[in-house]
Amino acid sequence: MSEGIESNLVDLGLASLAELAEIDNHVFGPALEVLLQRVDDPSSSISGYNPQRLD
Amino acid sequence: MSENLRTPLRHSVPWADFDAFAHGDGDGSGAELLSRTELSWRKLGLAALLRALATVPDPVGPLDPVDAAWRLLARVERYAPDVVARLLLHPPAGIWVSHTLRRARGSAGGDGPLWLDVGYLHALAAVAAIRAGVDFDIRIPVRAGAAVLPGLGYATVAPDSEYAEVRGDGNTVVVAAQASRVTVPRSGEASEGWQSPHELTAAAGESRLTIVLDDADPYRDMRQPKPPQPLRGSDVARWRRVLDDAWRLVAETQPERAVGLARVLTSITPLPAAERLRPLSASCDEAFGGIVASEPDDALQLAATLIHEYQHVKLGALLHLVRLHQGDRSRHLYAAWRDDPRPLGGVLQGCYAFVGITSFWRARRARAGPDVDRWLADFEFALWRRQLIRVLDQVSREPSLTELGRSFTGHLVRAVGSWRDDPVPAAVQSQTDAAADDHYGQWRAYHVRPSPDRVVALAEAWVSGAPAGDVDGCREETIHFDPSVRSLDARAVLMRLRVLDPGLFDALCKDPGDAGTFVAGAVAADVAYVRGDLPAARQGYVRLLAIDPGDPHAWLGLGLTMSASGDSVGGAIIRAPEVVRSLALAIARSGQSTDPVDLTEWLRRAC
Repeated sequence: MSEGIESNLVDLGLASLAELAEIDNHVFGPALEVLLQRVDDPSSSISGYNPQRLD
Repeated sequence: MSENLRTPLRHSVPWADFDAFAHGDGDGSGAELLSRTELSWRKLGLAALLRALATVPDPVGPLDPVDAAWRLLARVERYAPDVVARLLLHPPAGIWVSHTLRRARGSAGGDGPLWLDVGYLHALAAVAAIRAGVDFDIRIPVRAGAAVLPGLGYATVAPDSEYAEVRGDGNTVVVAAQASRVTVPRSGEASEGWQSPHELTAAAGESRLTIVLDDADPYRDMRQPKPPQPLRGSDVARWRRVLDDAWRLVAETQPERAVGLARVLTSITPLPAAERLRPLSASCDEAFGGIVASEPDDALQLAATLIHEYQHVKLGALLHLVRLHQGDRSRHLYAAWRDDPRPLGGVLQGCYAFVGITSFWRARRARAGPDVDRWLADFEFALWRRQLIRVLDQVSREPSLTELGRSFTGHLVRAVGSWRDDPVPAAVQSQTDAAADDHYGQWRAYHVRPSPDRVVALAEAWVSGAPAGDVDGCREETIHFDPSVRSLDARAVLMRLRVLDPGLFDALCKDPGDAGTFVAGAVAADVAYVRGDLPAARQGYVRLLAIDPGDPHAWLGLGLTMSASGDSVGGAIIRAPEVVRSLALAIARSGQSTDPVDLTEWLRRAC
């Protein structure tokens, strides 16, 4: 058994902002697509106690 | 390009941390891990935003080009990487990334020109430069006369200004818009026209929680941008006092949870006080470390809210790393803490939050004295334990769970199962069983539709005097989301009110017609039921059903009242409220009137 679950999220902790602007999208791997899918579905992002009452 | 990006490494979640998260915990190394992985997630979002903005013609209006703001941020990062990393994790910055990305991609609109949103990047760059003491000069957007520097505060400028010029020379920072000139003060100092954030620190022994009470950031409420809504000094003082007390309760009750919470939580966006005993709070996976919360009734309520939202924040970040379900949003499930049917992802989030809350109340039971605090801990523990068992049983059978999702859910089931035999006083157990059945029953009555053929056959049998047991037919049911449904917890709130505020409850007993004024959704018969006047409650619910034979609140009230009276007919309503309701409506549509008790007595032979 492996020591952990490998995620699709690339470790960008040490990537500088200058590099982020330049690098090719393929470096980000499938996580970029996942992020865009989540962004386009904001209703799945908010959680809490009956947040519909916030309206 | 750095070596890190030539051969990119992916984050991984150690099994020990995954198991701890799945058990509802993960407050030590797990919380640390999430702080690191969320920086990657935020940078990924920024990279996506930068690329999306490159495809939009003129995304900046009167502001400096996107590239200029990015270069300033990158320049500061070279000198002060920690300053920029901390700033990027500012919770509203995550909401901004998502919101602006949606606008740039055309999947959502906004309340003003795109550059008003894009300019938050310029404001972030200005804040980074100010914190690092770097020279700079950049324009930032102004909303309703407020030029906001995220996390630093805001300048009040001429209300018709579109933008402000922010200039810093490493020593002095000035925000200028038209004739307005506001000097940004050094930390802890005051300056005319400048409003600093409200930073609150609560301490309990070695344990400290520091948060910003955010009334200024445009993206603080997690939905649409809004201008600052400054809190009054007295509001801030009350928040400070209640947070102090709430933090003591968390730290003394669940010290390990407090460690993770202090590491993760950085901001609270305050909302006005909500209805008594019905606090509002929310969080968003894009705003790691931030929560929205109504002004609490008291410290205990805020302690539970902190744990509730902390759980959501943890799971939201974990879901950026692993996939627990296939995201099937076509199926909707019961969530015991909501009035509406929810997709699996939402129900799973709720389970996770309520496992945290229930474990808090469980631990609280051991510390609370033999008074109302102990009653409340027993009540909340028993209610949510029962509801979690029901909801998790449903979730664990969902086909769209991934293998990891099954493992995760299995851990949650075991965590809740380990509490199954914890004794609760019989009176409390009976109340919470009723409250749980009440919510589930009303939810079913509102949102579940039995097979129309079966309802028609039952109605015909009733009218013709045939036994219900002779009616066969399809037992399939479908979910029909009724978006108007609210306040399914009204009777449970009255149960709490009776113990926590006996003076108000006594007043309601004298004038039960006022029940709905103090507890939305409650009616006079509910007051009679909760105070134990079962004949009056039964009479009240029967009267309501005579007016509206399809009233789920009255049906469940009648079922609970009859059960409490030892009448087994009540159980038939509780077991199949959607059938009882649909049948009553079908009979009413045929022009016949019927006694609800007689109808249920007849129907129970078929259910």
